[in-house]
Amino acid sequence: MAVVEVRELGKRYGGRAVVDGVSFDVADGEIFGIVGPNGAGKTTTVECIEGLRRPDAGEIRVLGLDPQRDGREVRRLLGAQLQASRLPERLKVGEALDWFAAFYDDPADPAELLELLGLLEHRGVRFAKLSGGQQQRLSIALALVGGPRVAVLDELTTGLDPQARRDTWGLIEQVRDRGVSILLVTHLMEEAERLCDRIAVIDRGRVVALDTPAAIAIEAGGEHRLRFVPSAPVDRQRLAQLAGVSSVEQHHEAVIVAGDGQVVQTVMAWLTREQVVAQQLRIEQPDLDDAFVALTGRSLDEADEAEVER
Amino acid sequence: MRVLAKTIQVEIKLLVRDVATVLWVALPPLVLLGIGTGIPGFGDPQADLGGLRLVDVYLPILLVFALALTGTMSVSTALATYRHQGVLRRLRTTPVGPVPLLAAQLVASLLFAAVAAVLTIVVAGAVFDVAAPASWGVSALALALAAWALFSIGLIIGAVAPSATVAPALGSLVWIPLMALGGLWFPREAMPTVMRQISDLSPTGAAVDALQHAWFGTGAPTSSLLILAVSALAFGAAAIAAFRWE
Repeated sequence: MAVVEVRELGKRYGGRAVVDGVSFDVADGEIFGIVGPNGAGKTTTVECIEGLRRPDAGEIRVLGLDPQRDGREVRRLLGAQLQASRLPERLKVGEALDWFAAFYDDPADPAELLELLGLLEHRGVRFAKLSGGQQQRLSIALALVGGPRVAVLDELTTGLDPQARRDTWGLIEQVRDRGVSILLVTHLMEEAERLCDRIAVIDRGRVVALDTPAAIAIEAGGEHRLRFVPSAPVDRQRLAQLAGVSSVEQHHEAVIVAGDGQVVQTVMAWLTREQVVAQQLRIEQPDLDDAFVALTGRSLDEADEAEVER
Repeated sequence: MRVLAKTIQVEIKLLVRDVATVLWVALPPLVLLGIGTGIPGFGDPQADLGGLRLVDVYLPILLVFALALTGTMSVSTALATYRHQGVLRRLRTTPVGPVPLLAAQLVASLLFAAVAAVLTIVVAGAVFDVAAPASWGVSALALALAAWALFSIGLIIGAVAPSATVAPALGSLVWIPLMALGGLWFPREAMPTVMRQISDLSPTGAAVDALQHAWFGTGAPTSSLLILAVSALAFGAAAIAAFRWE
């Protein structure tokens, strides 16, 4: 069953279509990612779902409800974490959570949420004194305090250091394990690959791919790569003739073989037959960054820069 | 009611933690002491005031002055800052509506204004020997209605102001005519007829009139209280209508 349904969503600003015919479903219990460069229309899309913006075209249902017509009911069932929204500077962590809990009929236990998000020892700290990571965690806690069925998290690890980012990812998985479906907006392909069951890749207001991250990466023609140091010299020409191998390169003593989804098994089987051990073996799956290039003809960084210039 | 009670509690805590609140509470009695000791004859009976002293006449004006200042400067800035920082945007994604948020702003500020008013009355009594109001009930009613009306004006300014920094500037533009009508610079008794009529209908003029009657026991200020009640309702409704989340 889908908890969020988006059909042919359209939103224009000043004649420019920011969201142009976007459709996707978020299934119950999944982490669904909306991925794409800055300015692709990701935030506008989720703001329509949250009821913050009125769509110009298309239809949105959150648990069967229309965010515009049944706004209050949707806000009871949907928790939101927004980009760049703050709390009163002098409000303390515990107070913020108690305050937001009062908005709901059957809120989650604020103390338990603080514990889950590692904020228990910061409950008496004012919002302005929190680090970026702590503010983000509080923001997630506030999105969850109403005991939502769906949580929409917009760029939640932006500005966090790598450690805080990884901690946050672990947290999101825990939240999902509690039965909350998650709609995640991100421009970090790594984040989408690590967390999402399925993603919609959005570019210039349109969905250019919708599937599991791995399927999109492979579908888009990305290559699997394995890199190893052979225990004995190998014949690179014979390696290159194996089924599914597209290229073989040598970097000092390391051999790098690229190819399709079967390449790892093919090469490993061949090496075994040749009685060569692959030392320091590293395998690279095709990633979403590659897929984005294949899908749009430009890299994510270029797309971000183009947005800045616009 | 649970939402309102909780939000009021939050707003009170935030006000207590704000250094500026101390100023809003301490300012009116300090102004009273300042002008009282600065103006010669402030504490002497004046024949053209019917034997009252300037300090007697000015106390109600000062109380209204404090309310108008709190409304146009502090309440307006608080609301505009919430919007500017995205606090309102964040709240908009929850089931809470604008009415409890605005009401909480109003009630929390009202409590602090009450402390300031009592402090001012105590200082006036202790330093200048100003008598307590003849009717505490009517005084409290007049002050509460005036605060409601003036703070609602502050909420309208906060909603209209394009940014948090513009709010106090806009507030002072509203505050000056409000206080002119309240008789801060020249008393209502000395106003030309037309201005006096406008003053009678203004929340500040009506508040000063109601307070002066309540203070000196010169009859029930029914029409002024009525004007205050209508202003409170009208500006309150306008504040809800003007409210915007973003």
